[in-house]
Amino acid sequence: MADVLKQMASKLYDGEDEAVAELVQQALTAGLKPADVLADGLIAGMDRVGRDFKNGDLFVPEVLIAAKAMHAGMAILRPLLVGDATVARMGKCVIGTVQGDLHDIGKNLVKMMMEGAGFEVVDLGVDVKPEKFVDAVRAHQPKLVGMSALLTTTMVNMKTTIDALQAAGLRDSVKIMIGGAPVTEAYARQIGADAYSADAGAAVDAARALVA
Amino acid sequence: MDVNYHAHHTLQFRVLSDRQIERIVQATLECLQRTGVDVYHAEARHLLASAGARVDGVRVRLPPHLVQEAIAINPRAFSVWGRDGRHRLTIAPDHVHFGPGVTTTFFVDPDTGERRLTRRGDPALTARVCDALDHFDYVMGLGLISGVKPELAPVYEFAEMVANTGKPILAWGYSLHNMRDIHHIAIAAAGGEDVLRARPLYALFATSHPPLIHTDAEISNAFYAVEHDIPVIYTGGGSAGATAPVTGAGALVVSLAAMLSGLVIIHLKKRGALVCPGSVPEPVDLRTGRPAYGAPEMSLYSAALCDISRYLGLPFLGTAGASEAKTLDLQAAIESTLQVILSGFSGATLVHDAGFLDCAELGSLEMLVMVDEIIAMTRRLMRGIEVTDETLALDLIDRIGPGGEFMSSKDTARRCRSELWVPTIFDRERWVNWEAAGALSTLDRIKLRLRDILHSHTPPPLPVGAAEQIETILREAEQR
Repeated sequence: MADVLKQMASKLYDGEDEAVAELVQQALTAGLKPADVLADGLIAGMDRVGRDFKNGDLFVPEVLIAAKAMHAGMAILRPLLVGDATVARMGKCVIGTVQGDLHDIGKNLVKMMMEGAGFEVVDLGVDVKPEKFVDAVRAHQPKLVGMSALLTTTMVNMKTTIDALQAAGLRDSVKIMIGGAPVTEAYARQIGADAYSADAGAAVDAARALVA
Repeated sequence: MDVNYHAHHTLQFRVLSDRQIERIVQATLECLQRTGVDVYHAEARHLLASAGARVDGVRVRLPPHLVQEAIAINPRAFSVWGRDGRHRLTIAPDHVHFGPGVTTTFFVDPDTGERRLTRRGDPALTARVCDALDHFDYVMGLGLISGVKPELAPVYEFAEMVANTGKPILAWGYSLHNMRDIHHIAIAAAGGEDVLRARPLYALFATSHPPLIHTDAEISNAFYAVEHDIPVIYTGGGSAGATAPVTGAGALVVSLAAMLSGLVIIHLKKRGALVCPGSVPEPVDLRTGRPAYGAPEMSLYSAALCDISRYLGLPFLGTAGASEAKTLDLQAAIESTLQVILSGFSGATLVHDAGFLDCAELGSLEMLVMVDEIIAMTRRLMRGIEVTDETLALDLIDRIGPGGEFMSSKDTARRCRSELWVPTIFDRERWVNWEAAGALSTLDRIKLRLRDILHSHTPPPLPVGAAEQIETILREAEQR
């Protein structure tokens, strides 16, 4: 049976979403536990993707189709994993591009990579007002909030959003990650964010560290 | 590789029009008939006289039909093989291959970075580095070995090269003794005379003496090569302003006249021999009288000679990756880039002289590493743009639609490696990542890549017993 999981990990690495979904179904039919399918099939494959991406052996589109394959597998597993420790440990992330900013390539990239790593991501889209972040945190109770901005003129709204979470009494319930072209480590510290990431790969690592 | 996708000629680069080419060819035929060339090889003069040339002392004047016949009988395409069986040069117009230069007096020491005399071991390093670099297709020795019997330098050079690369080699010699030694070393490396005859693993690089002189030594070497079915690269030449007229067109005539008269002589010795004419038409900087490899005219005239060669159905040896700069600096990078791009676009068959600094006086392994990256970029340009139903991607565009993204589509993932070139040396990181990785300059990365190759690259081994045979050949040459 380990063969199914090995094959699943390998198909996931190749970005074959339909094959992965089929193999997940097959594994469940054969009586494997959902948590084992997740850990030894999907996450095992995605770990290899993450490692090879970090070494520069994989390109972003290759990582993204692998992430989509992960997603296809998770769509089947998630309902069966309610209350499971692995999923609960990874947790939810609310993500969005801050108010006034319509750029979302980087944000989408982070979203897909996070999903690939097993996070459940609630995407608020672009031009997200501070109140909308506050409402989403209240409604979804995520462990993480991710904010993106491409412009120096809009990046100030990262601070506005953090202040709004503070005012709503929600700041301490979440870890906050920020990123985007003009954003720096120093800026993250200055506005009281918990982490800064230079790229999508680093964002996943930072997210993992924050929820660990 | 070929220039352009076969069916879709995206890049169209020519220096001369058909009419200009025809005028230059006619002028060259007139020059060979009226002025002629000096031939310092008795048998060659005899062959030329028998074929109808007018011989007066060493001066030989060639009737046009002799030249036209030689052009017609040169094979349309032939091969030089690597002993690894994987690398093969197709010598034909528009097949482009890159390689290093030859006979620099000085060498940049790869350990200390110092400029010192070239010595034993340097051609071995050159061969190993070229063996490792994806975009070098053949090997030349780069440096002229000092510290050995001077007349044996080309033999030691060849012995070192053949042991350190599986790629094809361009060899040269001072004398027939050199040629015999080199050929016997090649037989040992190939694993037998028949094997070498069927698949020559080296070609002879022979040069005329500009303007318009064929020397006894070079013609003797060429005759030895073709008698043993070894292909010959035979270069014309003439530096505009010094050994050729200062005008571009006049310089082209002098180069072409030497190339084509050499071709005639070689085919009279052996009809249908494998010959690749070539030329290094570098102009002279008339402020100093020094040749200027990095001059734009060098690449312009090379590309023009390439146009003419293609028109005549001949391959051509061109020049790129050579600079007058004294260190591997911005000038070296800029001049190399211009030369590599123009050589590639013009479709030169064998492009040589990569790794030259200081006017062909100084060889640099680091420069080979840099030029490899420039060739890689140039090859991406040479490939042009493939236009097919599949690459037009209308279904994909329709599926993704306005405001969507193409980065996570399977189509992108499947084609991302073949469609978009990625550098191995040049940096494209975000500042923070670049800083975290040590804030390396391009030169730092070139040095690291070179160190990595020198430490870790292993060329394919020689056949069993070949190394001992080569040692014996070298010992006997020393005792002669």
